[in-house]
Amino acid sequence: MSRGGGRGGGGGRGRGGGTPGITMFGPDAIQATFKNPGETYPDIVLPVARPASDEEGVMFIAMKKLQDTLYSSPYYLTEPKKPGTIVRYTDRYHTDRAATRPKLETIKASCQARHRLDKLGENEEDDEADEEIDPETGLPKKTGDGDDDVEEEDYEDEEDAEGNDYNDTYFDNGENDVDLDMDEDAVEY
Amino acid sequence: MIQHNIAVYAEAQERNRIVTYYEANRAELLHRALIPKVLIYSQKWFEREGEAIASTILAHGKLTVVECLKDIQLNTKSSTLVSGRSEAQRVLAIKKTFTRMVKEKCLIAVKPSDSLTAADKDMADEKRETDKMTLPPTAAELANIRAGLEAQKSKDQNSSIVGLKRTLDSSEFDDFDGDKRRRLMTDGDLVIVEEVESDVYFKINFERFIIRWRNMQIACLYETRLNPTARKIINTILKLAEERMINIKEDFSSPINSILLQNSLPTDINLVDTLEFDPQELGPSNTKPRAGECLEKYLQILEEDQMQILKKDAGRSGQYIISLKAASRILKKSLIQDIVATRFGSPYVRIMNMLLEKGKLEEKQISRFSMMPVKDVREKLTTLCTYGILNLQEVPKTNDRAPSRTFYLWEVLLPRAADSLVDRLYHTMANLRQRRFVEKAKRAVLLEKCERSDVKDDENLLNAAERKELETLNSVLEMLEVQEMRVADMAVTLKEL
Repeated sequence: MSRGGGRGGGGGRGRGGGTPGITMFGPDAIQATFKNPGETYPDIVLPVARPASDEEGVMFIAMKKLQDTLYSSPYYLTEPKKPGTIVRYTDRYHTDRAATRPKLETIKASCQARHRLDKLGENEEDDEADEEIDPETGLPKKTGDGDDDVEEEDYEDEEDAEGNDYNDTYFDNGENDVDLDMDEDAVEY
Repeated sequence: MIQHNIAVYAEAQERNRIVTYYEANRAELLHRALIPKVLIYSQKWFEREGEAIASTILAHGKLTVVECLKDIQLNTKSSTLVSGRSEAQRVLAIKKTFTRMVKEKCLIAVKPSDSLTAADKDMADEKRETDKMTLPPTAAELANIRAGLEAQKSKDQNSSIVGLKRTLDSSEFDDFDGDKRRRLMTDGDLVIVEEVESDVYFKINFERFIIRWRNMQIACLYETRLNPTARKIINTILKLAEERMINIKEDFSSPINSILLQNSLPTDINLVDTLEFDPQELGPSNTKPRAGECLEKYLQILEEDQMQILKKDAGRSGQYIISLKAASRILKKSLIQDIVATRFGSPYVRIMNMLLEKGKLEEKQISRFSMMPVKDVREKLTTLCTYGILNLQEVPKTNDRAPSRTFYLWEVLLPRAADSLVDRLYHTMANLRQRRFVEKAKRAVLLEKCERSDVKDDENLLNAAERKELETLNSVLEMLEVQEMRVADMAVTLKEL
């Protein structure tokens, strides 16, 4: 009987909802949320952003300037443009950014100089006076000789290790890569 | 990328060759979002030369003094020299600013070992120590070694600034009115002058900037609560204590003597007139007390303030200490409250504040205290929980965790709330960046046209519609960039402080 079933169901519901503290979690609470699900996408008042203050405007300009510097510096590597199949009239006006940047090799020279300078520093340690700061670790030179020797060995190992032939090809932008692992044509599982 | 401090490397011996592994330096990458603010503030604190130095170093990652100088001269050769200074004077000014930046630790020296991953360095140190022992170390000895290495690392960090050397300069100190430390009366006019070493590479120390911004924010807290004079006093205290601040996570600043504070206050500060005195306390002559006593009164007011940031240093009279932990907690709390208020509305903030004050509460108690019906409270609690601000603690009454027989207590854990909000803020930043790319991509044809050399020379080749489009693009990009900066600011407050 639908009337009896409705009464029985209503009575059960009433009993379940009457006791405090049970309706939060448990089977009755689920019924409650199913009955009032709420809107799927309720309206939110979208806040309007504060306009940029003067300081922020200056920040934007400074950042833009730095960005332009970075994009035209040798660090921003892009592939050089390959000539297209069709030669267009406007091609003469398009400048190839990759071609106008200074090459990364110009920076490489100073990095190598730094390595050489570090090695020089290792030899000069013995001659320098007490106050001098050790150029490679940056600490005042008070440590015993044992530590320095170990560090020197570490550095020499890094420079002269056999498999380490990155020095020459470091700034190549990936042109002369040799596949050491023979992975290129292998099938990946 | 290693040059720009974004990546670090590690070398490992694998079979018969050395393999190099590279890792991205996450902390540095996230700091790069703050670059615009760094540029502006380096101009504020170190004038125009500071900005030039900062932008050159940022363009190259790390530089020595000499290279930085050469670069600045190259870049500004074309522009006219401002204020008619000669070239030599400008070089001197740049060098002086550079030295100042290194001394204030805004620029920090880079050692070759910085390019190695931190874990690698630790492992190498440990290996060195354990190699000295003949037998493999036990767990206790290993723990001892690790503790010793950590102590040494913290000592290294606290030691003097790397990259500065002191030379005896026998030149007149008229044209180099730099730091006069001690004067040796024997050898005529010898002055010990601090100079930057010419073969050490420096990079921008973002932590230093963040520390200074945090100090400014702490001072602003006092301005809203008290008055601008209080802000100036706190500013001075923090500036004096700043020298000893190594990293952000310190709990307390170093103690400041009140006499030292009195001498270092800015001259335009007006202590006497900003305090109101009880006429009975002033005595019969009704004269206002001197500055020293006013300062004492101010310090007393600041100390008794509810924020509990300024404290008397225990055991030493006349010394004051700033509790950075309490200050950063307050800054984070106010930012989270602002975020929740803007996103959801004030009833949600009411609930959050109540839980912050009172600790753990049950749903019924929350609805009673916040004067909202239980249904509303339940809805708001679940929304805040999914947003990441609230935590639920179950306290079972019986052995089985039946939902009808457990207490469910809601609470706000500030570190966890901050973490989840930082996550959301990074998502927002990523959205803003993507939007920037999309906007540029929508106008890709126009942008390519602008890159043409004949258009760059002559603006009239673009018709009115295109120019309008470019203007819209510029304004949209500016708005997006500004919003990104604001979000990065918030992320720094929540994450780093």
